[in-house]
Amino acid sequence: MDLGGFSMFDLFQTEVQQHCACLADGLIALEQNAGDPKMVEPLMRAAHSVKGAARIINLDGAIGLAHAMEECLVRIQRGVETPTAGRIDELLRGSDILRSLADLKSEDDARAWLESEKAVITQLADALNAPSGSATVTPAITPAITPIAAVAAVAAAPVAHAPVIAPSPSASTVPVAPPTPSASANPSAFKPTTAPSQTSGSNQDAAVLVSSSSLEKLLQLSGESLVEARRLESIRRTLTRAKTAHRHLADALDSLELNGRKAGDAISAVSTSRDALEEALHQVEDHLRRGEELASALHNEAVSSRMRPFGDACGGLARSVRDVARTLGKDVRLVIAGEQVPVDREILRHLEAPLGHLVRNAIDHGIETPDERVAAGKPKQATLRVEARHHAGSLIVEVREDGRGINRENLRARIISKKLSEPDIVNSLDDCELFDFLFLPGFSTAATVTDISGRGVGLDVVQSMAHSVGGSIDVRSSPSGTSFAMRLPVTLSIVRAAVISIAGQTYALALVRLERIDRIARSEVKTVEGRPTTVIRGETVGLVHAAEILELKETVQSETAEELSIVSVLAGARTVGFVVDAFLGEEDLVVRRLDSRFGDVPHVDAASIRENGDLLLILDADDLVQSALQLLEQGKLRGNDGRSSASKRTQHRILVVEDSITVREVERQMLLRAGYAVDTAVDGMDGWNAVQKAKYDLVVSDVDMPRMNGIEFVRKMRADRRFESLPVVIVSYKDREEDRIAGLEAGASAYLTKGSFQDRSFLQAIADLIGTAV
Amino acid sequence: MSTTDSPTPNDRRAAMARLLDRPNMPATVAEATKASAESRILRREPQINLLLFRCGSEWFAMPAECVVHVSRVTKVHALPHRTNHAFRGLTASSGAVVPVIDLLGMLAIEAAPATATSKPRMVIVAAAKEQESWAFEADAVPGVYAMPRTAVKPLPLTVEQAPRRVTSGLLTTTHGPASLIDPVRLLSEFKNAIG
Repeated sequence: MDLGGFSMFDLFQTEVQQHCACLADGLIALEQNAGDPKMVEPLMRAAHSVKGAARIINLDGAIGLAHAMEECLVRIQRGVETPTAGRIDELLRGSDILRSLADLKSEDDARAWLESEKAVITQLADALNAPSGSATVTPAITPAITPIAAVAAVAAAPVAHAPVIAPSPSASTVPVAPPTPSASANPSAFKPTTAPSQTSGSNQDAAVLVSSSSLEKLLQLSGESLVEARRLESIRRTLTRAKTAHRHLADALDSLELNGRKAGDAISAVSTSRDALEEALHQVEDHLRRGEELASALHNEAVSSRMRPFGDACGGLARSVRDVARTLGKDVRLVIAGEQVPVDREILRHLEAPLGHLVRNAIDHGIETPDERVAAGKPKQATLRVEARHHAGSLIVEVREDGRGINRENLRARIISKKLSEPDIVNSLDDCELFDFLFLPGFSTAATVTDISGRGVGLDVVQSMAHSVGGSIDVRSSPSGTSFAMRLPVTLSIVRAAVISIAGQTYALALVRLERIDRIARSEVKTVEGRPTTVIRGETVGLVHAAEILELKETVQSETAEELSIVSVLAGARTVGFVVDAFLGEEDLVVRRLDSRFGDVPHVDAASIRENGDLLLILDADDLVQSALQLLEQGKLRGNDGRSSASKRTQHRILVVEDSITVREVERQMLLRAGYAVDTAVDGMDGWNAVQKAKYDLVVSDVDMPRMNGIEFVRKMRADRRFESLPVVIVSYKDREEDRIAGLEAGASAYLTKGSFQDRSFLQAIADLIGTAV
Repeated sequence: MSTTDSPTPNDRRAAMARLLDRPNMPATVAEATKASAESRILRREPQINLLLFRCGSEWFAMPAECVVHVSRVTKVHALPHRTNHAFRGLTASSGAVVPVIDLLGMLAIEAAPATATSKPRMVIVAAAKEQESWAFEADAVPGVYAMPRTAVKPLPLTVEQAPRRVTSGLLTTTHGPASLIDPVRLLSEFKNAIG
């Protein structure tokens, strides 16, 4: 394995993460198994390894602490002392401190943090070196970094919220239930149980360290190899055409009914070459099939390498459940199911904090005390089940307990007392609507605020995480328990999307964001207060041109098309219809994040490379809706016939290029009268200079002109990217068909004769191309 | 009696040996020494490898070590709200998403009509190894040429004093004068344009 890209500190952090995870789980298991010496051995090794790793980069504070932990574990193994709950707490705290080093950005940060916490760390090391039962109090340590969950929570609601698990000064001041005999007397209460699942135990893959950039490169190259494999298809088609032509040649030769030796040789040669061609075609077809299969398998494997087992997100849960239950005096059995279920590593990264919130919330609010449970006829020990499973193409992560259930009357009273809704309405809400209030920022049903939960910061964070990745959350509750189930995409790497065309280029919108896609006739567009709308399945939907929001210039074809493709996107309970050029189909797209050099590009979520090797952009539907509503509010979107309103915002500007002063003046006057702004140029060269200096919506040009004729002028514009889609109308005395064809072949949008001035077809052609004047 | 017998094989061998063993003429030695010394001088002169390409009506050269690869022209997708005179959009190259600079627009060069020698190519460039790459479309890319560093001549004063120049020197090539592009300056201009 190439570790060249990793610094010594990177390797130290990786090692510390692994060993501290082992320490956290092992210490809890040790407590439950009353100091089984066999269980101490791996813990000693873990502490010893952390000490060794810290020694390599000379992190003195960490060396001392790891050494004290190792010595303490040696005493436990020898039976010199027993692992009391207090001792386990101290060891866990030591593990937490060492684990914190893995979150810091640099070696210097680690040194600075260890120095700032030197007194606390020394005191903890002293406590670990002292015999068990000594009344040593270790003061709280300042977390090395603020936990992400806490930051998110504070951002969501301006309420101070101390991290629950990290030892904090508030832990000693917040009134929480002391550890009860029932909890500490029943260490098995905290034992996490791994429930059998669809994939558990089947495949314990060894993990290796691979940099994410290498993985990304692998994904890119595997995608490209798939594109290249499919490129063979065009060779196969060429060969098939050659084979058909060859057969025609052979038939023609046969029909000549030639005689003699030379004719026989020719027929034989044709037959031989036909066989060779057949053979080549078979070989190409075979190669194409195998190449495509192999490239697909490689690509799928590369994509799946972004997946990690769900269990990776559950590392801290056993510890969290132990600590929270101990603090609240509750008896909880944690069951984790589906640890091997593959989850996109990006989702996994987002999942840890919400999972922690749900678990703490369940123990604090859902699960009763042992006495309450017994009184309710339930087993004394509660079961908290955390489960991951794939269902109908989604990842379901469910946190379920067998507690008291949500008290609906309390919830209703809370909604009314917080004046969030009228009593009549609140009383008529169904469960689904009622439970939605739980996710409002700052909403809590807890009568008292504890350090565990009840500040109303947490569930809103869980919901916003689910929404941020395109998922949702479902709550079910009964007197026998409550379940919070997050429905998330299985991967963020692949998105099922509708591929559409806007302004002549390809875009995509994730299907989960779309309500529906329809094709309507332009005549079905009606205006309401001047704004385009149409009726889709009985609902009047407001229409907005996607090109207008994206500030793209629409193609002439999309401006004049008689059928419109409408992509309906949900905006709350209502729908906004985006007019696009065409719907091209549904595809699974591998998501590529945009280059950070572009910053946050409005309306664009990511890029993707299609199977044909072309690039497309994945649009952010929510952002599109938001911009559409904002622009409407500001009065900047004013279309009235389904055609883009972008071109109607300002007066259309037209350039007339004509060498005859009379004709030039006739055209100028006609256009001015029709409401257009007009500039003039006296020949092609003059026109070429003019289009570079000012922005025009359309150019009208003569053909026969000095210096540069109209055909050359049009060709020159079409060769320049800036003007390749600028509409050009040629108006000429030449009315022969070949003249018209020459004009259109040069790139003109329309070819008219000067007689068109009389029958208004001149103005009509211009209106068709850029719309009528404002 | 004189005899005019033809030389025997032994005579021929002896003549060949005499020819090969003859002492070197001073002039021959001097000539060979000079030639050998000259070739060493030439070899010692710093060489640069440059990719030569044409954009519109102008020829350019760029240090070959910056060039990741030259490929067929791929479709460029405009990036809404970002595409402008200097930035055409994004393209797919070797499975990666690569931004495409509009050299014509950025350097205000006139587009040239396609000719028989036109063979458009997409040039993928990275200013340094492991840095993010970017691309531009050239109308023709004849290849990579090695030339002595001294062949790079200073820019005319009017170009050198221009506030946003991206070239660092001039070269004379078989295709005519070519501007030597400084990839770092070009990338910096590109970043200013998209920023």
